Parts: sequence; C-alpha cells; structure tokens
Amino acid sequence: MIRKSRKQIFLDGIIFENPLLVLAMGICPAVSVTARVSSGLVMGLSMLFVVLCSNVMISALKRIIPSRVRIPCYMVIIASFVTIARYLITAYLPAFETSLGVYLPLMVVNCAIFGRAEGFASRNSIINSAVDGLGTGAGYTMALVLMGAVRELAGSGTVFGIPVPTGPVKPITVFLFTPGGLFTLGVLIAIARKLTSKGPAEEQKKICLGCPASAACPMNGKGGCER
Amino acid sequence: MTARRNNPLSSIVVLCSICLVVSLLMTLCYQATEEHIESNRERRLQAMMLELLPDADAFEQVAANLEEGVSSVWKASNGAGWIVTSSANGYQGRITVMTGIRSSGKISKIRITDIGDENPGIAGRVNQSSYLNQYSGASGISSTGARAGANHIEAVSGATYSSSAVFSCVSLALMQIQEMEGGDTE
Repeated sequence: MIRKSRKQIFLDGIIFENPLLVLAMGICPAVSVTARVSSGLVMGLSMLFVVLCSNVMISALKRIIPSRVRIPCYMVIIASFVTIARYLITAYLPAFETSLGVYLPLMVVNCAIFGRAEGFASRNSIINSAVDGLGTGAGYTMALVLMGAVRELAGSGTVFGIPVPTGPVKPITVFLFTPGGLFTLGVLIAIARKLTSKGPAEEQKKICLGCPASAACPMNGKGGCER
Repeated sequence: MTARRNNPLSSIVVLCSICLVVSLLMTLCYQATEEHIESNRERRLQAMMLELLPDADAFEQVAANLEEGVSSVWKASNGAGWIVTSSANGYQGRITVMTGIRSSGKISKIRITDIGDENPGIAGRVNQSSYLNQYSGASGISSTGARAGANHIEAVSGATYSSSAVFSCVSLALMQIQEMEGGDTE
C-alpha cells in the first residue's frame, strides 16, 4: 500500500481522484440536480457532510466491524448520516428539499461515498479518513458547482439566479434537461482528463488507486484490470 | 483492515450496536430539527391556501363534522372564505384536491395536491389550468346538461375518471360548506 501525505490525500480527492470528473462516480445526482448552481452546491455540501462523517465513523470502528458484516454496517452508518443531512436541509433550507427531490435520500447508495468507505476509511487512520472525506466532498462540490454554472448560464442565462449578459446568444433550453447535463459532464470530464493526464502508465496506476476493489484485485499494481 | 472476528454472534452484536448508536444520533437530530420542519410545513400550507383564497389573511382549522372524503376544513380569520381538502377515487388512485370557497359560496380556485397512484401522464392532463380554471367563479357545479352555463364543468377527454374524481372532490367541498353554513343558521 502506498503511503501518501495528508496534503496529497486532500488534493487527490479534489483533483486527481475527483469522484465525478475522474472516477466518474455519483453521476446520477450530478446530471439531475445541476440545472441550477444553488441546488448543485447544496447537493455537494450534503455529500461533503455525509462522506466526512461516515469516513470518520467507519475509520473509528474499523477494528470492531467484522469483515463479514462490513457492508451492512457501512450502509447503516451512511444511511443515518444521509437522514441527518436530510433533516437539516428540510429544516433550514426547505426550498432545496423539493429541488433535490429523491436524489438526497438516494445518496445512501451513492457509490462515491461507499467507495470511500470501503476503499479508504476502512483501512486508514481517522485523521487521514477525515482528510480524504473533506477532499472527496470538496472535489464533488466543486465539480457540481462548475457543472451547474455551465448549465445555468447556457440554459437560462443566469448564475445563482443572477442574470448574466450573454450578448446575442440566446439561452439553450436543452442544457436544463438531462441530455444537457450529460453533454456538460462529458465535456468537463474530457477537460479534466486532459489537465490531469500524465501519460498512460500513470493513468492506469491512478485507476487502480481509485478502484474500491483494488485491495482484493490480483492485477493491482500490474497494469490494472484492463491488461 | 477490518477485524477478522467472524464469529456470527459478534457480527450480530456489532451490527446491532451500530444500529442503536446511529438511531440515537438520528433521534437527536430529529428532535433538534422537528420544530423547524413543522413550522416550515405550516408556512408552506398557509402560503398554498393563500394562493387559493387571496383575500384571506390567515387560516384556522375548523373542527366540524366532516363529510366522508373531506379531510380538513380551514376558515379564513377575516371571514373571506374557506379552504376544504377532500379526496375521491380516480381510475387507480385517490386524488386529493384543495378547494378555496369564498364566503359568497363561489369557488375561488382549486388545486390538486396529490394524485396518489393515478397515472401521472393521464391525471396530469387534468392538472392543467385550462381544466382547473373552469371551477373558478362557479357556485354550484354540474357535469351534465347545458354546456354554456358558468357552472358547467367539461371533463378532460381521455382522463374521464380523473376528471370526475376532481369533480367529486369539489362537490364534496361545496356540500361540506353548505352543511356547515346551514348548521350555523339553524
């Protein structure tokens, strides 16, 4: 197992292992809620809260949880933090309860959170897991805000609800719908890959690092499962 | 790495204790936010009712003998009218409608609040202003007879069951208010 500094863990979550743009995890809520920047931001922040809390708790309990029942244990922990996030949003940001809709409770089965629990928190110290949770959550939030800004600007000519002069370009409504979300996501992923790419060998190593099954995979470190 | 204690009893104990601890966390959070959530819901309900009866200032729930199918009656504090929530069966689900009735007995506006298990595509055709606006201003409604009258409600073709469910809801609401008012004068 490769030891990484905390700064590296944090940066990995934001850039090199960005859950949405590099690992392509948590796409479903990303495509559905980012028609407006504000709902993307709230979704990202609730994700940050859940992944941070569940990472810390799972890391603290990693010696107690028997490996045979670890999946249900992680599930219960993640589900409870999602429920708490939902209570908080319903109480203090009621407008977002409807705009996030079903995607908020669906975070329970979000593979980005689960992947961090299984792939990182279950085998690292509490502080490192917290840093990883912060990095992953912040990376996801930034990706959602970026995506939301592009979609809201292109689709309705506003950002955070404030009109932005776009000159002669009329808003393109398709950006507000799911296909527009997929276009935007595809272009952002392409840009992110271009910016973070370090050649094929590094690419392959990175895929193994981000893979939740890397611990059990015989191809880990030997070029990955694609070889 | 996770512990290798794979004895079934310890698995059960650990999973149960985790469940207990997280339930405790959720309970605490629920208690802390319950009041806010409740007041938000109340505010949303008041805003929804105000939309149906714009002349009113605030609403108070009325304790009365409710007709079968009527779930709640609210009265405007300034006497501008009532809001009645009632429901009726559509094709495969129960449709719930909020009806705003002015003190004159005329319908102010209606709103479908829930379509239950109705097909969203079909019941959605009923939930359109062209259909719902027919009710505004009517004092008694009929679905048959002369087509031009102000009280005639034209059903949406292809969504007859859903239309008649909405119709029944509104009739129930009118009946409820008539009964309450009749009771008052007696």
